[in-house]
Amino acid sequence: MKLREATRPALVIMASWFFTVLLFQLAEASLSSDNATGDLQNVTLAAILPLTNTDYPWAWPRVAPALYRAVNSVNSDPHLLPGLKLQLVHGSSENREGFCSDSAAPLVAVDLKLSHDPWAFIGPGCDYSSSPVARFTTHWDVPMVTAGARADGFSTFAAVTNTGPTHKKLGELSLKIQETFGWNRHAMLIFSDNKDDNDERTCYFAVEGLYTLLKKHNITVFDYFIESDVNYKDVVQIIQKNGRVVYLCCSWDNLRNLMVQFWKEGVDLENYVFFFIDLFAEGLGGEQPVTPWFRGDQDDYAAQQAFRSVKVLTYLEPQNAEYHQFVETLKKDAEKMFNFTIKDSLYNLIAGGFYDGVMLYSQALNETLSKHKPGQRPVPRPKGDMVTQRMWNRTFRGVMGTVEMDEFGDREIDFALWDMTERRNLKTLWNSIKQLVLQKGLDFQWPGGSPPLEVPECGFKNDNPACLTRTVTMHQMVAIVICFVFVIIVTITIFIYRKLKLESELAAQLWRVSWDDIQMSNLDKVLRRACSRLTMSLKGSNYGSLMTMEGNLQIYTKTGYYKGNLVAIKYINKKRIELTRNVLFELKHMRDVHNEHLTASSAPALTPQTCASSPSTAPEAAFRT
Amino acid sequence: MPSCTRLCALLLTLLDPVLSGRAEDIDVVVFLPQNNSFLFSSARVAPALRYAQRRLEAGEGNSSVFHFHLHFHSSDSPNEALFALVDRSCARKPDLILGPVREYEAAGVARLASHWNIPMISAGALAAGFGDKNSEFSQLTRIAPQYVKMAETFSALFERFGWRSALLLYEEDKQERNCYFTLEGVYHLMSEYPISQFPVLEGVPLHVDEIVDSMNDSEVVIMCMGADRIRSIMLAAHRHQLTRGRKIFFSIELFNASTYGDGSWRRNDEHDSEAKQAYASLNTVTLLRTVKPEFENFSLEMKSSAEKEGIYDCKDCGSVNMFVEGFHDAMLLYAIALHEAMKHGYSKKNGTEVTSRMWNRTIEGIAGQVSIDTNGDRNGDFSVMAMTDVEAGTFEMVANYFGVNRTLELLPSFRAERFTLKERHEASPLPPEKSCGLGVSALTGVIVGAVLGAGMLIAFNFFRKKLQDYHLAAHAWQRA
Repeated sequence: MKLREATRPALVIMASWFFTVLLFQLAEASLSSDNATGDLQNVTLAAILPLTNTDYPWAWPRVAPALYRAVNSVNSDPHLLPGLKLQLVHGSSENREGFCSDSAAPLVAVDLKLSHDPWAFIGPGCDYSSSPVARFTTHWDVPMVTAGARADGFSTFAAVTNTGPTHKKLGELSLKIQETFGWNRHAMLIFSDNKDDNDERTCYFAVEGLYTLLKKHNITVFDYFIESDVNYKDVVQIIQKNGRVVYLCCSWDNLRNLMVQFWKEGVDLENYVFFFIDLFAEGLGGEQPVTPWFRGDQDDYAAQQAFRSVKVLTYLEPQNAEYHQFVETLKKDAEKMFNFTIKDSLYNLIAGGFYDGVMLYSQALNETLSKHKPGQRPVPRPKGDMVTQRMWNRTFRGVMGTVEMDEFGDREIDFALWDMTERRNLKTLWNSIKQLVLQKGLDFQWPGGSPPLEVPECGFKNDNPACLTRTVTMHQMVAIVICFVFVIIVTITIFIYRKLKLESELAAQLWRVSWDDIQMSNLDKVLRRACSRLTMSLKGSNYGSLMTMEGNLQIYTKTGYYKGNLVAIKYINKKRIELTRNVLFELKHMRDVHNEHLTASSAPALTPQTCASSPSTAPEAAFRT
Repeated sequence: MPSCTRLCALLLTLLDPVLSGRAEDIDVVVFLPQNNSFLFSSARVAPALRYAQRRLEAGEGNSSVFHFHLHFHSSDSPNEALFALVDRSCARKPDLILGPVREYEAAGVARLASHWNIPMISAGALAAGFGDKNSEFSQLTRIAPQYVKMAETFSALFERFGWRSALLLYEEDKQERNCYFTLEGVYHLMSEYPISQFPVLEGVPLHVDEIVDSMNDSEVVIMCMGADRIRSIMLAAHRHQLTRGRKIFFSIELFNASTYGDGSWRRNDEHDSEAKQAYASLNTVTLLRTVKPEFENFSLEMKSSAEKEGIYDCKDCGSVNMFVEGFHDAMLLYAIALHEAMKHGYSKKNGTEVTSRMWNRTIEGIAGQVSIDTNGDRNGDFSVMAMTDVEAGTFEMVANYFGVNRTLELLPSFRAERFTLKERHEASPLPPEKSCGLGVSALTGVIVGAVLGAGMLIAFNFFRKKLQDYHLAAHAWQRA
């Protein structure tokens, strides 16, 4: 303040400058004397967290008790940071509406930096607030320790150390799941997203962790986002066309509606598996057995059936006694400090993460300082990356069990996978040994008996070449149809041809023998030529005789010659023969008759005697043998 | 050693007024890129700032004298300006911040300036988002007309000519996003119209057919992208017969208007004549440039200093651009406002008072009147250019829009038929025939053919048979 007043432009005189300089130096002196009296040098940690909005797991009332406790336990430990005393200052990353803000947080960071020159920043938790602060801390080379800021993008900031869960680890879990069940090619991600200013886009960032890691391992990923008004029918179709192994991050209501829609459409859910991401297990809390599908409406049965294909991914609650003790104290302190009631939930993991963060920083700082020349007073702030490097790739015992920091400054974290059993949900664990560990006596439940295929046998579009060989291709289809049509045409043609031929034969009346062509029988000739052989009796008439072979009965008939053949001639005493179609057929058939006992085909011949010359005589029929 | 730097800074501030007599010292931090490919690079703008500084320090137009200390910081890489501001503010906060121009850099700096109550003037930060002067950007004054002001031109044109829908076609570079922000202004202002948008990714080959398809539903196509791409799109639109009044085309070329216009369709390739015809349907919205006598002086000096800097190699360096003018006028505006604030007994550290005196004020700038509205944004004048000589392919201004009184002025060269939609109620061009693929159509052909053939054969045969029967019946020849 003094400084500012001194530079006020109205009256500037030499005396006041010297006065100011004096004051300035006095202030400096008093600061150092403060340190001297306590014999401890203050090391400031600046926390930037949402101050009032307790919807965030890293809200100040949730986390502050843990931070103060950690600071106290460091300060009370004589071996940790000798001669130094941690002190905590804090600012809020909230905007006026009480939401995390990407513009408020960096301003607070700058203010804290200018006013306190902290040795490390604690927080922020929200991704959008953290990113500008991380940029600043990286620029200033001040370590930033947080148990929030879970997004994958923070791995690029050199100053950021994350002692809480991160989405990168969630990605590693999904990769492990994919490997375990042999899904090495394809996955689908569905997440709810809205680009509202105050929205944290939790699901977007969660799914981003999966996306990045799966992509890196050559697993193709289809991602799809849903907004507030979801058309579940469309989503079902999109899933059917694009995935069988589906990771979902949305509200429980969205999930239930989607699953009910699946059930209603009669989709074969055995071929699907849905991993629902509910990291803080907000829909699974409370009473046993856990029945997240239950709403008490008419869809309950459908939901229950459909939920057999749903598995839920959450963080794993630490099982050690120390953590339970920690949570109990946290609750008490929060009640005392902020009159705020902390419930049992996985949110307390974050508080634990912040606690571990302060412990981790203190240990790393202690090591860094012990490498320096001791005895220098005041202890200068070590370069940020020196401390940060010591925090990474380090294992120590924290309040939630062993804290294992990987080489990128992210904590290894355990996850739980929930599955529906006959009676209740099943948990499987994934821990830092990077294995899926089944809970005793429990196993994965697959409605289809085995894990579904990541890609249907014939592909999502039925275009798998292996499958195509079994089905008929378009070309084959065309060929078959053409053949079929061709055969039909040929058959029809043949029939038509035959019919035409028949008709023409009928019309041609081939049986017809002209009366003029028949030479009436000459007796001499008969005797000489034929009848001697046939031992014909010549008696009685001038009729030639035809002898049948059976019996010796001789039948005499009038014969004649037609084209050199002997023919029998029979007169039919009819005035008129109606040549109906039937008669024509009969005649044709008669002509066509073949028999091996007949020496020649017998053909009916009917010829009218020229009507003009002997109209009185009846038409004669001649039978030619 | 923070205490030492603090002491040094203190001594500096103490000594300065001694050297300059009664003059008020003003610390000005200027954030501009060193890279001369930007129209607002440090080398281009600095001479203008020094020109203004000289005028002001000579006491021109003002009774009290200010002594400006210009501190130039580069703002080439992201966050560089923000970090520089924070780092130097450890010692002492500046009294005035000029720049940065690019949106993403300006945002951080503007937030911090508003937080610290430091007046900030930029000839950039033109995006609609900076309009929120109540909280985040309370200290930001924009000395160049922002994109929403530009959109007012379109709003006026739409109202005048009764157009009903627009397509925003812009190049998206995912870096500075100039075109995105430019058209965002239109989107922002004209929310009552049905507006569709089509981003074209930079560095990705242009899918002209897709773009032309996207024009179907809109009457007006507003484009912001590189000149070559505009040309390809105009050619494609021309080939699809969307020009000549079927659609109204606009391109936005705010800052380098002088390169635009005559012959911009020319590439000396085989499409030139076609492009000329296509460009006959293209209108361009640019900043309206006014020239007054004093400007010549300024312009000459800018040119000479540009030559000295050796950056006279680019196309548009010959003319003074909006940014150079803007930053010059920013100094004038600040001096006037500060003078007034101090007359009322406020200190230069009272950013709110100084800033509020810059707003809702009109000053005589270097190139003409500069009027800042009540929200601290400059009112802009824009002009619409169109091809007036189709033979020669030359462009002229046909209409001007004046932001102060929000009027649209049609110039004598304006021809109404160019802005009238023809065949408005004509149905959209024939939808492309739905083809089910060759395989299916062949199959259908074969089947239909076969069925037809078979049917004809049967019919033929049937007919024959009938005929035969008839003939047979006629064979009842036996009648006596």
